[in-house]
Amino acid sequence: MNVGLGHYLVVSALLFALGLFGVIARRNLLVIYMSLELMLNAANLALVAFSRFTNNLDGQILVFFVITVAAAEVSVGLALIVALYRKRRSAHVEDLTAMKL
Amino acid sequence: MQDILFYIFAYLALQFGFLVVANPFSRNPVTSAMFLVLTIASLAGLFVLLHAFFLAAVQVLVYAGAVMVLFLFVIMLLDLRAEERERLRTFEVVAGLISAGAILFIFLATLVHSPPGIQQSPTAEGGTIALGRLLFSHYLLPFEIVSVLLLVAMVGVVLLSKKNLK
Amino acid sequence: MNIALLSHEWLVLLLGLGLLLADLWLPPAARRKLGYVAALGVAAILLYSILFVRLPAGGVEYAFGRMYILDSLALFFKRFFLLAALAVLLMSVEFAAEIQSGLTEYYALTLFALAGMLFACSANDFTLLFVSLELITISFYILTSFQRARTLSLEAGVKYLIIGALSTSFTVFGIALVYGTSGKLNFQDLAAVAPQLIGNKLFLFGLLWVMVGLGFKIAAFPFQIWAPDVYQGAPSPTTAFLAIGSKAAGFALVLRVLFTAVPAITAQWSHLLIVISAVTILYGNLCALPQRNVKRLLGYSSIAHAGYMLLGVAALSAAGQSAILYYLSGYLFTVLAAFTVICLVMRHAEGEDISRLAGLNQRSPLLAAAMALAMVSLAGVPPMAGFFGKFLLFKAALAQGATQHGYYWLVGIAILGVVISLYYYFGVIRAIYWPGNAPDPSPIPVSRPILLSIYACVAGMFFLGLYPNPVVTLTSKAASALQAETAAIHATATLPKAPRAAWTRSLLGPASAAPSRP
Repeated sequence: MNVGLGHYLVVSALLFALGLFGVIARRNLLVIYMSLELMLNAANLALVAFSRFTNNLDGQILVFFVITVAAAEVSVGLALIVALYRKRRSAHVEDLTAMKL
Repeated sequence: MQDILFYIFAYLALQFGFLVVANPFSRNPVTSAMFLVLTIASLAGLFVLLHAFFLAAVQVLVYAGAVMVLFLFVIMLLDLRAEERERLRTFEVVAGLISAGAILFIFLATLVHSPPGIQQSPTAEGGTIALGRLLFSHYLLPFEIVSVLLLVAMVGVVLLSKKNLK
Repeated sequence: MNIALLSHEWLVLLLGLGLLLADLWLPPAARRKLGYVAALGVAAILLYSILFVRLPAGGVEYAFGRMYILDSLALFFKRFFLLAALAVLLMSVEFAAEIQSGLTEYYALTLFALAGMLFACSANDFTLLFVSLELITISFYILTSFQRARTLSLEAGVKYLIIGALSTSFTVFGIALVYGTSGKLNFQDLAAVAPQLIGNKLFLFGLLWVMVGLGFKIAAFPFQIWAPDVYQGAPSPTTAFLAIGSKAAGFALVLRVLFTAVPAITAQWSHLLIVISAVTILYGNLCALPQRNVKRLLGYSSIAHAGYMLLGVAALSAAGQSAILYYLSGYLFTVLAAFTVICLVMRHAEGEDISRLAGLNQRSPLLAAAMALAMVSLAGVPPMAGFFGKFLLFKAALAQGATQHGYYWLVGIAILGVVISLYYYFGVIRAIYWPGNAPDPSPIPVSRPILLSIYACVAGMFFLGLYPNPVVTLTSKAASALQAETAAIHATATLPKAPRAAWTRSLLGPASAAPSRP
C-alpha cells in the first residue's frame, strides 16, 4: 500500500497522544516540558504533510513560525524552571503547593 | 524505497517518542532528553520524505541543535540526582492513558469517517528559495512580530536567570 | 498598502524599545518615573487614535495580503487595550517598590504584551493569530513570574507556562487540521469554503481544537484550571492586565474565528456553546464562595464573567456580540478599579487575605468607596456598568429563546449565578465597612496620577450603567463589522484574489508570484 497523507496523520496523532500522556502522567517539570515539545512536533508533522499533499507552502511557513516560537518559549520556560529550582531545590510538580484551594 | 524509509522513520520516531515519556528502565531526565533528540532527528527524516528540505534542516539545527542542548544544559546545571526518586502514581498514569487514548481514538475515527480528499499528485517542494520568497512577501508581518517575540524572550531569560536580584 | 494602518502597533513597539534603551543611560533612582513616561506615551497614542485614526469609506481596510484587517471591531479593541494598558502602567508605578530588579523591563514587557493584543484584534489569518497570541502569552509568562523573590510568583509562572504551552500545542494541531482540510489560513478565504466542509469531521475536529486553545485564553470551563493560581501568584498589575487584556484578546479572536471564518458551523454549535457557558458560570461562582484571598477570589470571578460573556457568543446574533463588547467595557473599568485598590492596600503585605481590607473605610474612604463600587458592579447591581452589561447579554440570549428552549435554561442558570455571586462580593464589602480593628490603621497615601485613574474608573462604571446609549451605539457599530464582512462573503461567492498577488509583486517583482521553485 502506497504511503499517503493518512499514514503521516496517523503517526502525527500517535506522537501527539504520547506527548499528552507524558504531560499528564510524568511528575518532573523538565520531562513534562519535553512531552510538550513532542506534541508541538506532532502538530508540525501534520502541517508539513498537509502542505505537501495539498500543494501549498503556507503550512511549511507556519511550521517555521512554530519552531521559532517554540525555541523562544523553551528558553523562557527553562529559565523559569531554573529560577524555581533555585528557590525550592525541586523540579517536581508535587512541590508546587504554595497555593491551595 | 520511499515507502520503506517512511516506515523506518515513523517507527523510529514513535519508538523514541515512547522512550521520552515512558522509559521502563530509567526515569532520568537526561535519557528522556537524549531520546527526544533522536525523535526530532527521525522527524527530520520524515520532513525530507515530504520534500520539506528547508524545514528538515531547521528541525535539526534549531530543535535538535539549539533547543535540546539548552535542555541538557539545564538538566546538568540543576544536578537532578536527588530527583531520580520520581515514582509514577497509578491515578495519573490511568488518567493519562484514558485522555491520550480518547483523543487518539476520536482522531482516528474522524480520519476514517472523513479522509482528507487529495486529488492531484503532490508537487510542493519546500526549498529555501520558495519558502524564502513566501516568508519575506506574504508572511512579512508575522515574521516581524516573531522578531519582537524573540526580543521579549531574550529580555525575559536575562531577567529570570540573573543571579543577584539587584 | 498603507503603512499608517498599523500605526498603533508600531508606536507601541517603538515606545517599548525606547524605554529599554532609555534604561541604559538613566540612574537607577529615576527608573521608577519611566512608568509615567510609558503611561504618557500610551495616553498619547490613545489620543492620536481617537482624534486622527479614521476608517476608510468602506469601513474596512486590509494590509499584508489580507492578513491584517482594520475595521470598526479592531479599532474598538485597540482603544480598549490602550486604555487598559494606561491604567495598568500607572498601577505598576505604585507597585515599583515590590519589584526587585528590572523595573524598566517590566514596563517594556507590558508594552510588548499590549502590542501583541493590538495585533491579535486585527488578525485575519491563522498565522497572525498564532504569532500574536504567542507574543501575548510569552510576555505574560515573564510578567507573571517577575517577583522572583516570592515563591508564589514563580509557581504561578511555571503553572501558566505548562498550561499555556499545552494550549499552544492544541491550537497548532487544530490549525493544522483546519488548514489541511480546507487549504486556507485566511479567515475570509476559509469563510468562502467552510459551507462545503460542514460534513467534514476532520475539519470540525480541527476547529474545535483551535477553540480549545482560545478557551484557555478566556478561561472558559474546562480550560480554566490555571486562572485562580496565576491570578493569585502574579504581581497585582500583571493580574489586572491578564484579567482584562488577555481575556479581551481571547474574545476578539473567538468572535473573529466563529463569526467571520466559520459562521455556518458556529450556527450548529449553539448547544455546545450553551452548555460551556452555563457550566463556566456555575463553576466560577461556586468555587469563588469559600475563597479568602482577594486576588484568588477575583480569579474565580473572572471565570464566571467569561461564562456570562460566552452567553453573548452562544446567542449567535449581532445583539449578542455587541453585548459582549459592552460587557467587556464595563468589566474594564470595574476590574481596573478593583485591582488598583488591591495594589495600593496590599502592596507591602504578605498575602492578600480579605481581612486585610478591614477598616479600609477609616484608612482611605476613597479607596473603600472605589472597591465597594467595583464589587457592586461585578455583582451586577442596578446603577452600575455590570448590571446593564448583564441585562444586554440576557436580552440577546432571550431573543433567541423562541428557536431553542436551551436559551431560557441558560439565562436561568446565569441569574442563579448572579445570586450566588452576591454572597461573596458582599463579603468583600462587609470586610471594608465592618467596624473591626484594622491590622494597620495608618492612612494610605494616594498619588495624583493613580487618583485620576480611580476617578476615571468610577466615572466609567457609573457612565456605562446610567447612560448606556453612546457606548451601545459604539459597540453595535463594532459588532456590525463582523456581520458586514460575513454578508459580503456570502453575497460574492468569488473572492477578490488580487490583493495578495498585487502587493507581493510590488515588493519583489513579477517573478515572485509563483509560490514554488521554478
